[in-house]
Amino acid sequence: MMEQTRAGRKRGALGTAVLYVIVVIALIWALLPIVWMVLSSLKTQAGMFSMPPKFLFKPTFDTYRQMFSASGGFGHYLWNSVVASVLSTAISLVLGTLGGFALARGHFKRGKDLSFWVISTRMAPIPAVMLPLYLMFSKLGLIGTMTGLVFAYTTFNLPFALWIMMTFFKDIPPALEEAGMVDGCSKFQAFWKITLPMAAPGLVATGILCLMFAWNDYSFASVFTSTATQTVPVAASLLVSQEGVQWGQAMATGTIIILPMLIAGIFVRKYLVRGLSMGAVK
Amino acid sequence: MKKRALKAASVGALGTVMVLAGCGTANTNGAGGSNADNSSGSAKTVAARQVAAPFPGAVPGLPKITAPAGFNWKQFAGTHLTFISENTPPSSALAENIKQFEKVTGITVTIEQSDLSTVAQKVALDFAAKSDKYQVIYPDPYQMLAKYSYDYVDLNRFNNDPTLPHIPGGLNDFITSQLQVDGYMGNKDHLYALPYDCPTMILFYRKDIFDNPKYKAMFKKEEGFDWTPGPNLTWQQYYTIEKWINQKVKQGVIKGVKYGAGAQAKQYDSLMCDFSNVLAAYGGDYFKAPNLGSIGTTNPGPSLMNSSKAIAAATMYKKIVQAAAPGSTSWDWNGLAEAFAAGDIAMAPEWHEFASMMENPAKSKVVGKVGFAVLPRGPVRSANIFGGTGIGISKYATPKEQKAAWLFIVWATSPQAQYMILKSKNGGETPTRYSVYNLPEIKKGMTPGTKESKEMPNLLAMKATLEAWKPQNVYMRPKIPQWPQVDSIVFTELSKMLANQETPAQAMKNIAQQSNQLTGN
Repeated sequence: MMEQTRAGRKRGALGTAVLYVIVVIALIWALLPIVWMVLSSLKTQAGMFSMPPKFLFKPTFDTYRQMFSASGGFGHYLWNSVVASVLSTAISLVLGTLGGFALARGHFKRGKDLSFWVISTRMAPIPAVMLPLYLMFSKLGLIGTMTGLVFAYTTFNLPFALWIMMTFFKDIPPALEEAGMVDGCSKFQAFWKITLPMAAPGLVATGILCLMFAWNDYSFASVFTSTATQTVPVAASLLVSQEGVQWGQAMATGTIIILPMLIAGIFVRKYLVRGLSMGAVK
Repeated sequence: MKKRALKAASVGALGTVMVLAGCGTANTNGAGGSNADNSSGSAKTVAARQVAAPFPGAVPGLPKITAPAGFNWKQFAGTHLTFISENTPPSSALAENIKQFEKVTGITVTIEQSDLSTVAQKVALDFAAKSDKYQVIYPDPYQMLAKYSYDYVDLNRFNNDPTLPHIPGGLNDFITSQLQVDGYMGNKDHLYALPYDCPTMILFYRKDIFDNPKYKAMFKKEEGFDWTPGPNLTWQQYYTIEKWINQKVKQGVIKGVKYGAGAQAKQYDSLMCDFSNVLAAYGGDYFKAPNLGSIGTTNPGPSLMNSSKAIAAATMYKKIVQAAAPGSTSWDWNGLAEAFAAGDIAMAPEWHEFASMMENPAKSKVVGKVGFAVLPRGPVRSANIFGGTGIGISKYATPKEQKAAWLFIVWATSPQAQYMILKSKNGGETPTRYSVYNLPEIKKGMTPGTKESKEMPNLLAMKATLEAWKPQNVYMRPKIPQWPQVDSIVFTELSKMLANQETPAQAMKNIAQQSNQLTGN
């Protein structure tokens, strides 16, 4: 009996060890390119290509300094990225939340078809909507403006936010709002004070996903922006030219693109996981 | 009566003097290149008295930018132009010096730069929307000119307008073959763009390897021919040299490089360009119609890719790439240039303007070690693919913007501006004007070790490039509206061939079949 337990323990320990090895390999697989990119951004051009690669070296912030200098102009791209992604996310969240609530609680004729139509607008690939959007924006004088870019992102983010928020609201029992209304809340107060706080994880998850789409987008940004409104991903594409690839700046740009999303992800991961798994199990 | 006759004679004499003075000015300004403007209406150009434009720092010996006497350079002040261009050295150099143009004209210019496919996409969308967001365009002949030629303004209209400045030095000052490919589509009735940049593929090689007397003698003894790159080298010999260097590197005999050759054989446009050099050297081409590579046509005729010449070229190309550095199938021109600059490769076909990168100590380990030659010959000739582009004006710009854009084009493509671009610290770019190459200073710069070559390192590749531009050596891919799709077919099938999924004959057959389907032949 003792021997069986010992064997069982051995098997358990072996299983755990194998699991750890798999996790470590997966971590290396996922993190090595990112770590490599961050380290390279802190090296000189010569250091970046030294063989064998060095993991211990004296870091230099010269690339970042150059990028954020007046001649580098990277701050301008960063600002454009922040404005476009935050504004489009905010608009999508506000409208998506209200619309999602209406679709979840309202009684419409062909309500299901309506909600499907909303999400179906997201099914078209970006290149397919590019021409009609360009024609419209061109007539409205929005090409090359920040407003145009925010509209373009909202066009894609809003159906997504609306659909996701609708499913979250559907998971919250209407009885809670009704109880609030019995206690004297108006319909909007019930939504604002009871339902919305309960949908906070969903709101955070939707917000992060909308933000990520806008922050990382290249397709819309490359077409709808001009020199004054170009965003970080567009700036990254300019680092590859006929004169070669500016590897230092490319690594630093990659680091800057990843960093805000990484920080946001760490802070809201609790909500993100709850949000994404809400409604998964009934 | 006598007084009246005297007055009339005086006026006549004055008029004659003025006309002669005007002719004299025009001739002086044309110095260095071919002066005559062959376009219709050139007579008017000569007739109007020309006055030098108030641009600072005119280079003696180059045609000046001039305008008819009394021309108000500020008449379009306040107009804003957006020039959309690929992110290339000349556009960066223009952006650096744009204040010069803005100060003289009062026109403001934004130079928007992106990668070529984004530029092509934006231009296509802008034309589809009939929008004037981009008034000045960088129309790549194959992606943006052939397909959308009707969306550009005919520049002859402005060049023949006696009230506007004309092309300094005339159209004949542009490299002839480049003017044809960059400027026209289908016929020469309309001029859609003026040549602006001129990258051309030539052979880059390591002088420290090829000039090494020990290696040279050893190679000649073992292989029986002189390996010096030049007009007599053949692709078959190139392949022999490539294999020989690989073998000697493995044996530790040759040091300083890792591989004999490199290629830009990534499944991308670069693969088509790289292969086209061999294809044309073997006497092959993509389609049957004449003048495909110069004036271009909307119907290229049947594909010629099923020919024995194309199959022989593909067979040779496959051998070359398979013996090349292992990274070759994942490199485009940038990847190849970086590997060459890192000192890994002894020779490679590459765009000539990468010469400045090779001479930049911050980016290259082979400074002072790179030689340039025309590409090897096939059974028919040496073929060096040209990849330059011009500048044109959108038809959808307002009449005022179009005229303002014309002033910008006159300035940006002038010999004076081309000289400025060549000298730019931003990497420079070689000019599209004969007159600039005629300057003694520029000729000196083509010799390694001179002060001028250090100041303008792209000139180091120019002796070979000027040779490559000769009609018998240059190769221009087909300028047809369907080219972007044909390009995609070509590099996809070639990529399968390099991965041994298809034989060269199968790959060529597939290209021919798909191309014919696409063009309706």
